Amino acid sequence: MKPIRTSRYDIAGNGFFRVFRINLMNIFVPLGNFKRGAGLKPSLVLLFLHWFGRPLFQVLIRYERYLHKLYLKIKRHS
Amino acid sequence: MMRNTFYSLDKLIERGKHLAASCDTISFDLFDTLLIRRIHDPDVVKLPVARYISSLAGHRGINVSWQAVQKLRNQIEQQQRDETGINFDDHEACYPVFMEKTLREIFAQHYGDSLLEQVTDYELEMESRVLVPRRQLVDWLIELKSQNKRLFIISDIYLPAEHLRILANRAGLLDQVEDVISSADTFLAKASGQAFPLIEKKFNLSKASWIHIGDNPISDGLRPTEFGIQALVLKDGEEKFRKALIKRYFNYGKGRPFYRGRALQQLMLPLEGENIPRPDLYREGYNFLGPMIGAFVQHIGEECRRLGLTKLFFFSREGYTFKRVWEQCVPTLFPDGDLPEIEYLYVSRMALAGASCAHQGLTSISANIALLPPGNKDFSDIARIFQLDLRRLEPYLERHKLSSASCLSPLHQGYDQKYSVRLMELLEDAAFQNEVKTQVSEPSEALIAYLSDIGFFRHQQVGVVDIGWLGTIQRFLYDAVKHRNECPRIHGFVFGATRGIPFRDDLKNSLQGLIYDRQRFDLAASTILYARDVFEEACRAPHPTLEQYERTAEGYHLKFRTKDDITGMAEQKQDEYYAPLQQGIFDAAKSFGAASALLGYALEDYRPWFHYVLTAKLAFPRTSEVVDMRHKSHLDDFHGTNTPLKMATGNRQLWDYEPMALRFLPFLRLRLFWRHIREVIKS
Repeated sequence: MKPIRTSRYDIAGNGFFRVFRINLMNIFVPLGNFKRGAGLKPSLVLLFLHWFGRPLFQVLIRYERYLHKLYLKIKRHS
Repeated sequence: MMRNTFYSLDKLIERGKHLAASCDTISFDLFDTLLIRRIHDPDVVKLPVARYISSLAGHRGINVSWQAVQKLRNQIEQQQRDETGINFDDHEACYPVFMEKTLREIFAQHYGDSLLEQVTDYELEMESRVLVPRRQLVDWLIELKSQNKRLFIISDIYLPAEHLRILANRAGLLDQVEDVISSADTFLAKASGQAFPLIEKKFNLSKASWIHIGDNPISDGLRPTEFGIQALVLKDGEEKFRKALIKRYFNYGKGRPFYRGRALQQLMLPLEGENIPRPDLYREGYNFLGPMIGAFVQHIGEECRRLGLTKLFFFSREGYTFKRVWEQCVPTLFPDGDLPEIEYLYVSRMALAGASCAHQGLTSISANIALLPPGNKDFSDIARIFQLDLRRLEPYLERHKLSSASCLSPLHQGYDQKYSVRLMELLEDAAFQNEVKTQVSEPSEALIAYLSDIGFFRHQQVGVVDIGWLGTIQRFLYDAVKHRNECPRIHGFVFGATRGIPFRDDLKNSLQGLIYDRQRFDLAASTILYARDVFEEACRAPHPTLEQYERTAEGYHLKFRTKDDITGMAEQKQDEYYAPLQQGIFDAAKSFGAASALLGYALEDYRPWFHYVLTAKLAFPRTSEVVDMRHKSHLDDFHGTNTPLKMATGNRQLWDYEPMALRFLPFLRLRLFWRHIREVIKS
């Protein structure tokens, strides 16, 4: 008996690490048409978020106002 | 007065409880406080409504894209906000006002009184499907109610209080609060702080004993504090984390189709109090089979519209599950209706086999289908399947030097090609065919009576839905009715079409496999062949299989298989074992409807993700997944009891291995997958 969603907001029994692993395998073994697959950058971002998102956002939320200003500044200059 | 910011819900509630002891009134913000949204951006909920309006307009002959509808809605809403800003501090909008204006602009003379109501109902339905009550806050709300505190919900939103009450009621909050207040009714919002004096006056409250709780530092923090109310502001890192994930899945899906299915499943995930421990099989039903069956049913809905079908029959026992999934998710996916009537059709291969011979006799294809399962060997198996009296057929067999025990299947010992040639000669014997037709005339008449009774012949085109694999049921059904002038055009939709015996499409009968079709080269989807029985058993109806159509004085009688024998009891046991799996599928269907409507994607968008899921779960499964999902017993009346030659049964499949082998044999999955690739390429 386990919940359907893990504490990392991932799918129980089909977590993102498995997605990453199978996509990696698809490079070496033709597993099927995944239509460009998960992609390296999005995969790494999502893996990082699933694993470290909770502590990261617990810290970032305290500086949300400053980060938002910084974000707007970067957006203006980019 | 002080304004407190909290970074965890526990601490906020702890502080709130402390303050509430000396207060009479507690007001809560609704969105992102009492209720959280499954999606990161509330504006995404507007998109299915725009699609709905666009399709309603289409029915009235108005060609307007959903993007244009959305743009117009935004423009009119902004216009109203600008107008409100002239007389009020807050730039608020009111949904019924700007939506009516939007609809009048789109529909012009076609605008009717019920249109706004229809659209509003769907918008509220979509909103409530994406809203989840925060368990801890709701528990506290109930506790406060029991302490006779005066509780209010205050929200700055374009939905009037009347609509918010509907949402709060569906979330189980309405009974706990005294009233719900929305800025859309008065244009006095929390953002400017003008809502608070209004509420104080209207409900005769004392600001000294009033706490307000919300998530916005200005509207729910600064403004109430300026007014003299104690304010608690929640800044929830956990929610940011959750929304950061769904936002990325959603956005990646726009550029990479692979993530569309993953975004769907992320949206379907249960939140807060919904995420309770479930049996392993339930999890597989919800996370593995549910989304795939949902997308299968959604695609059938789209095909029905494209082809203009007026009736859709779900048949065989797997169709029962598909029908239930349809009922759960289709109203949300296709809110404008415009779908065929649906009905469950009681059919089975065994019941239809005999009737299929009533007009064309026993064909070589039918005989080959009967001899396909490895357990079937001789003419007695053919006679069993087609419900023929073997005793009366023996003279014909003898005439062609055959007996009921002559081995007709190359999978069995004693097979000789000459028997197959003699069987073909027998099938060309007109006297034999006349005898066959005579023997099966009664079940055929009963079938026709049944089909007439349920209105099968009243439609020009019908769809039939089944799990697969050869399309035998559809083939037999068509053979049984194709001689009739009023026979409708039959469109078959199956989950997987393996086409072991080619299905002959003609102008009045066609079949397509939606998740897997052997006619398309699809390596990932072909992994269904690893564990077909799992899909079959998982979707099986709880009632026993239909055995025969019996002719009666009243017309017909449906004779079902008994549950009391060993096979029936084994089947019951299997059904009980798979009950959590099926429950998972049904529960997933509800979430699928809302999530898919929100994303606006179809089966083709989800296909790359399903390819991954099928490959991961079937070709590269965890040992525990195989052990859990592997069926305990699989009943198939079509299969005989003969034992084929060991060599003829083919290689052992991954899902047949023992747990120890699955766990420890090196590269087992990879080796078997290479073999699978070779087989798929060769076939």
